[in-house]
Amino acid sequence: MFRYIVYRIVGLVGVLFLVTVITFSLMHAVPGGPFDEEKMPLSAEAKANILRKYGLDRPLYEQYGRYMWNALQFDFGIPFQSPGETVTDLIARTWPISMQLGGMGLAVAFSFGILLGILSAIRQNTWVDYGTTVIATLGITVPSFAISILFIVLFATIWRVLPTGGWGGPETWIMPVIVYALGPMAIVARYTRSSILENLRMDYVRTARAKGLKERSVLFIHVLKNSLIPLLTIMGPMLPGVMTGSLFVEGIFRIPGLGQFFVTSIFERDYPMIMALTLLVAVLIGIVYLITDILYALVDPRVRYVRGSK
Amino acid sequence: MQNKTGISMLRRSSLLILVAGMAWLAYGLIDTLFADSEPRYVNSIGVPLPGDALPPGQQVIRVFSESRPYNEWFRTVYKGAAGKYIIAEPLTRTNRDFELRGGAAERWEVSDDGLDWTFHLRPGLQWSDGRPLTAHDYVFSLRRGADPENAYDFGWYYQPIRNWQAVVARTVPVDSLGVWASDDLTLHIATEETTPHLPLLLTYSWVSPEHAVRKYGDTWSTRPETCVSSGPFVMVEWIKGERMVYEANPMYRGVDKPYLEKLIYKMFNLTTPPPRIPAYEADEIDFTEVENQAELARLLSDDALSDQVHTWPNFWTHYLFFDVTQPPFNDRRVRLALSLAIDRDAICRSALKGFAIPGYAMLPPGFPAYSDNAYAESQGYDPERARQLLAEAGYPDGRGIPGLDMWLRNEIVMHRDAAEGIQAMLQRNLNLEVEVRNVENKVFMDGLNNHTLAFGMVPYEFDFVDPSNLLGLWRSNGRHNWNNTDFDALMTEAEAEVRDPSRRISLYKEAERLLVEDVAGVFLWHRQRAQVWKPYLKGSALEPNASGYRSWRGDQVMSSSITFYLAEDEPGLALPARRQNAEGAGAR
Repeated sequence: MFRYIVYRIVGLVGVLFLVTVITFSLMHAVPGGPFDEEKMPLSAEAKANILRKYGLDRPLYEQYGRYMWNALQFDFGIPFQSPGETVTDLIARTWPISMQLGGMGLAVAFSFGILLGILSAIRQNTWVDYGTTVIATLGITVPSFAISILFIVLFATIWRVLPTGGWGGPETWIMPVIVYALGPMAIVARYTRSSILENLRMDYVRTARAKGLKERSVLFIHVLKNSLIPLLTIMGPMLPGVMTGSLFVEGIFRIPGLGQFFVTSIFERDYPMIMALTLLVAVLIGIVYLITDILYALVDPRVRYVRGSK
Repeated sequence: MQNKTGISMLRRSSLLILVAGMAWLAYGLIDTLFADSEPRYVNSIGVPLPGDALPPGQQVIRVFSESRPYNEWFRTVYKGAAGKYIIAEPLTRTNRDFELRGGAAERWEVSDDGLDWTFHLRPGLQWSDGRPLTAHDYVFSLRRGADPENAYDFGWYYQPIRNWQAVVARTVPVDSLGVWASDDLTLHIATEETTPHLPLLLTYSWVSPEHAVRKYGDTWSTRPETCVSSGPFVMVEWIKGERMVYEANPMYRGVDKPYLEKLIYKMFNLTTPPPRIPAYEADEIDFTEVENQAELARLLSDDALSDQVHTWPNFWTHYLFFDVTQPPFNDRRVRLALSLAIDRDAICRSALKGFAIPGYAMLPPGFPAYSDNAYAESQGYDPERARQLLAEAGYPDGRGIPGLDMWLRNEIVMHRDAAEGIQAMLQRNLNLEVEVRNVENKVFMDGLNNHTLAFGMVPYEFDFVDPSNLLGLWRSNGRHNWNNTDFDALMTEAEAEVRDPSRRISLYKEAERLLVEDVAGVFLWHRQRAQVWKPYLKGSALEPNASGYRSWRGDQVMSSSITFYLAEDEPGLALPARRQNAEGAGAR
């Protein structure tokens, strides 16, 4: 097991290196630069001064080398769109907010998703099941910005019970968390439902019933435990995305999180931020998959890492 | 009997009404006189509030504002937050008729040769930390703008100042810039050429505090502790990405003392802006821009809200530009044909309804040297003549012109619709295949600045109200590659005309005639702004000036437009309770 983890981490470092090379070349290949004139062309000298100030006048391989050298010492540069702070400052300021939003969103998504999944499984093909299916389908298909605007108009403008946006007390969390949770909740509900239905047809359930266990004990002690294993698979890949914020939800609700920077950094050609964010997501995905695999082995005795004949 | 009583009752009641009416008039008169002579409230910095104003504690404005990293004009303009206009005192200001008046400078004069300007500062000006604001601060600020190490993004604006370009190009040291102070109150500015509009240019001279920049570096303007102010407001809070709060500056000794006690900017990210109108309707902000027709139509059809909608023209022109060095646009007849094939009235009636008026030249109505719609005839809709011109140029029925890409700079839906209208008109009237390509800002500006876009549509919004601003972008080697020496000569001559303003204006008119008649661009429309603001907002800044314009620039609460305040909706009626309770408002 330990060896397995070490192998995986070494692999991750290799992947990260590849990611930096690809991202660096791609972002410099796109036309336009971070300090293009917005309105009137600056003189060539004025432009050169700006490029020089940020080290962009140097050859690309040198810029890359410098970046990597600094990054290895955890210096990720200065974001062009917010030069009053470092990339690390910016991420430290905004990421916790996105994580808080994401964490609350996930909690809501999993608790309500599992609940809905159970309900529709034990009431299969009744109105409960169909109703849950409708909610789940809506949650997946309706874009989050449409739901956001609908919520804002209803709860803030017409009924005036919640603020339209901002980030402060719990009243500012409600709408973004719900909007944020809807999509994952729908997915969790669907997975839970089919997983429970599958498990209910298993032999061990028949055995449990046969030895006279109450239906409730069968469901909550035996079926549910086994049914939730597949959720680990979907939770893993969901995590990095959810924990790094969303452009739409954060933008529309004026939440000063990290999500917006994934898009603004590209629009602004903010090279240090593009690199930092790509690395951040790559690391997160790598770690989350690793943890998921380890958890799998712990939760499900049938899954084991077998290497060669050992 | 009954009848008689009825009549006398009628008489009696008319008498009553008359008496009551007179009493009401008298009360109104006294009330007005009283209000004018002795204001009810004086705000925390000693400004008497108008008679109908709410108490100082409620003089709080809340507005959405774009999140940006700095607050200093001479550090960066395009990455500067809204506070940069209100925490610094410019040398000159304009009034709401766009006429020049004093700011930090109370008067100024120019030498006989028109090259050397002397600005006399008002005595007693100071920073919010108590240090005097002197001519040296302005010297420092302008040098900072030119300093290659500061890498300023608005440098083109100050190029008339002597040695500006040489300093930027590092050929001479920063201190050889043509700006110096002979004493604390006397600032000298030398220009390369005569520049009669220099005092107007210097409305954009929001000064940087030399002592704070030296002590705290570039980020002095990003924290309340280090952000000293010479302007009407001072920063008290800035939570990055969330909110910025400014309060009236008690140390301010300038000319534009505000009625307001507090400004709360609620920050947002421009990439996904929050829905503004719902926030306005929820009483979270006090005014906001209306950005599309669906919103405008809904607001205007709403009985309660229609009175809060205000529209007025903006000095902003949309036009088609060409690469005039390459066929087919190197032929003036082709360019003119395009102009004649576009029915601007139809576009302004449909796609841009309520947001634009047809334009046929660069300068919009109300701007100095405006052509008074003189080119509506020669440039206006005439598809028959357009086809004829295209044929004369060697492209009968559009044959020989390959498919054209019309490039747009990250345009909003309304302008994309208008561009598609133009696309359809060019197809129908000239049989031209046009593809509308709306691309993101960086890609567009890269192409525009390098002159690699052959054809496109782009706007220009004024910086200062002088023809040299809007016409200046057509000078050779500028934004577009239409190079015309006669035009340049006229522009230079106009800029050299220091003594005779009316001759200067007629030179600009002549320059614009050359521009329009050679169809350097196809001028399409001038934008109108639409805003909503709450009925309790009052003040001269919000009212139209003599020619129907408002100097009010909305979300940017510019220093020249802070003369507004919160008034009682109706006499004696305080603000709606929900606004008082709203976050931040009312609190001191």
